[in-house]
Amino acid sequence: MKVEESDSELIMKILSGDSNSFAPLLRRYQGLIFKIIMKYIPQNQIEEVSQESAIRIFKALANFNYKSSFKTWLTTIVTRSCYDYWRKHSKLQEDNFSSLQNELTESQQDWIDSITSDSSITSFNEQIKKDEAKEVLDLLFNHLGAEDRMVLTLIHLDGYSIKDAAEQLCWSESNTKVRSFRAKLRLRELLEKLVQEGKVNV
Amino acid sequence: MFSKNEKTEKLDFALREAYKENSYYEPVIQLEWADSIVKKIQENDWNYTPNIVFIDRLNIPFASAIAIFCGLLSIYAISETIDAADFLITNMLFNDQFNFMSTS
Repeated sequence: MKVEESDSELIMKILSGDSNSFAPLLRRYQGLIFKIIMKYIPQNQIEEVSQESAIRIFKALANFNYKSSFKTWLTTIVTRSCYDYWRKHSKLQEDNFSSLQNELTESQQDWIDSITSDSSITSFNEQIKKDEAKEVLDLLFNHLGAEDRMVLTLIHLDGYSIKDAAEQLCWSESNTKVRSFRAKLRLRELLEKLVQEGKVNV
Repeated sequence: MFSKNEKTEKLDFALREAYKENSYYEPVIQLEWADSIVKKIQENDWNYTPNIVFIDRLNIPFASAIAIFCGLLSIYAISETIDAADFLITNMLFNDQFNFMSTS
């Protein structure tokens, strides 16, 4: 029976020049890598960012100091790769949200109206499963800069603590706290704009 | 009838719940994905060079401790050499066995 090599054994082999040992290490964590990337990156860019993250992990292996678990260290690198993607691709630095309403399709607007007016739990549970829910969320996030997007996803949506989010983004805790607060205010502003200009008033 | 504030809260909650719903999907990863990454690494010659990398992997306090130890060892070795030379010269000058200046 073949005994599976531990992470540190594989890392030692890679650092000794055996790059083939990176494949079993990567296979062990590929699910986690893709899960993180899927949360932050648009569908058509997942492959590119996951490849970039994997190469980044390989190149940074020599700096892994075993102070945290390999999983934690890897999560930080992948999250940081997603953040860098948005820093490169987010065109919006300052947005007055003026175009937000015009970007909504009719079905998305109907979804917002239905969510904000209906009080039935059954209907609510059905509504959140609809494609429009994800579309509206994507639309909102497209009106936020890279920092706001990342900090909101980690803290507001994923429920990470300030400390954990700061660790993953390589920011200081106080910086993360301030950015999180500002990002939540911006999100609130966006949500209010969507609600205010809704077609149905119940 | 809901107030604007209530509606905003509801929309926020719905979007967060929708996000959770979407997070449950398991990613579909191609079987050969990890191998394709390794191939790319090898093609670009990003492999680690044996031995050299271990210097990188030494953490700074450990490397500093070794450097200080080597420094102290060198100072000790130099002082011992000076003492030995001093001892030899003194003996050569004043010991009869080595005293070339003796007239006897």
